[in-house]
Amino acid sequence: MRILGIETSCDESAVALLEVRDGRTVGLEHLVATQAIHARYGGVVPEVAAREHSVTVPLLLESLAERAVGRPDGRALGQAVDVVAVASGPGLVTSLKIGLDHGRVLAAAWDRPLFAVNHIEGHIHSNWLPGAEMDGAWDADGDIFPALVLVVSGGHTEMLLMAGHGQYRLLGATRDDAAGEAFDKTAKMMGLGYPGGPALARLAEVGNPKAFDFPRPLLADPSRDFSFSGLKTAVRYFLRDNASRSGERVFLADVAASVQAAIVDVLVGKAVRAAVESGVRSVMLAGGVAANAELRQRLRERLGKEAPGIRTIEPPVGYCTDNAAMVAAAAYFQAKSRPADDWRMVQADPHWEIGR
Amino acid sequence: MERGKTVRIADLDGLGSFAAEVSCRLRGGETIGLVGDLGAGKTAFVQMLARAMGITEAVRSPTFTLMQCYGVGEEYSRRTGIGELCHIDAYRLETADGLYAIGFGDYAGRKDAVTVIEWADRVEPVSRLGGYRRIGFGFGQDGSRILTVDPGLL
Repeated sequence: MRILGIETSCDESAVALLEVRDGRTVGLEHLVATQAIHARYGGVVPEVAAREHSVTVPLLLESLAERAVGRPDGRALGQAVDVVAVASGPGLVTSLKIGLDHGRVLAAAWDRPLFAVNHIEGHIHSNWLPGAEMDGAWDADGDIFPALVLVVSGGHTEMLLMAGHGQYRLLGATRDDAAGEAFDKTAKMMGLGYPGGPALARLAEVGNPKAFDFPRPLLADPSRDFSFSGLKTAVRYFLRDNASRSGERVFLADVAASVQAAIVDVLVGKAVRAAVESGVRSVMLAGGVAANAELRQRLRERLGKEAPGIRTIEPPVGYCTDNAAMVAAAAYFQAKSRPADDWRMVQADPHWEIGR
Repeated sequence: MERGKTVRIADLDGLGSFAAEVSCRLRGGETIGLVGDLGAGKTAFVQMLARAMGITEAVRSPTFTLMQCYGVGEEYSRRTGIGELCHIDAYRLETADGLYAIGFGDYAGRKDAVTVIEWADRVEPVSRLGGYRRIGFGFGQDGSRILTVDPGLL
């Protein structure tokens, strides 16, 4: 199956052509354009993001055609595509619509089935892409289910029980800030810019994670929910009370490492407990924060020690952030199990939640 | 310049009582701008206001989709004529145009809706809308919060 994937949920435009045959990826072309323009603003400007998508998506499709069929020919690209997949939510509504409209028009013009895919379900399916342990087992992955999926990004922190492809039950979610948001906002308070989550993680590499004891919100709580806004406030007070040291690099590295340790402790502690209680066969990471090396290592260690029978499944680092290959991957399983969407009727849903 | 009444909030319970009082003053059509630093309690206030309005869904920081709307409880709706609470986080927005691009115009000033905007100072032109009310969140000593509240909300 050859699947065209389109992703425009936020400020990254991406297209991909994924070919899966005999249970493995036999071809993947992926192109992504990050909208650098928003860095100037320190955030996302929705109408600018949408305008950028409408400029970049056709250019990306042109490049994709050159790579896939050797020339910038839309009709030839269509002949190399069996299924069209688009992320249609959650996200910024104006951005989602640009991707969805490209997808629906291509599906209609090429007469191909269209699958509108949930963006989070896409992140989960990055776990089957090249570089992941699951690539090679696209058609024989029954032994990992049920799986506990920990989705962690700048906008989401949730645990889903995944009985199989398309079958999700939400176990718990953040009550306030997402984990990635906690990274980003802490980084901002430390003067590392915004979003500074990755910068904070880099700084943490040279710091002592036990230097300072920050709160682990809801870690001991039996619920499957998360909360990170109290941690953010604790860091704020800590930085205020130690303002005289804010120029010391060692001090900042220790704060970064200690904050990261607090966030990772909570994520890993709650995921491992939920995994054991739910009797799953694997724990799967997904989302931008899944690229965090400390999170990966600590999850493997804890599961290895407390529940060695449960597998840890990690997405390839290069496909943790928003991309179109993951959208195509999710559509592969949908095309096998449900009818296609109607290109005339399908709509963007900025608040689409799975598993509720 | 700070204006309006000053309220000292000692803890989360105090913030809950304050939110409940605000919920009693709302008549629909208000745009409430929340202004204050990271960790000052803006999202916590919205969560408690939502609870006071009879909203049972979990209210989270809407950083990703920027806007999230909730249907208020039946009893509250009957009493006030307000049907929806619209929660916006302008932290990642730079201009007020961005607000309209995410659909703010569908809710602003609507008589059957109340809109709350975190980081309203980042989208300053909203303060000129009719029905705009501001709540400033400052830090007191001892972990308390000092709120500056526009007339009409208290």
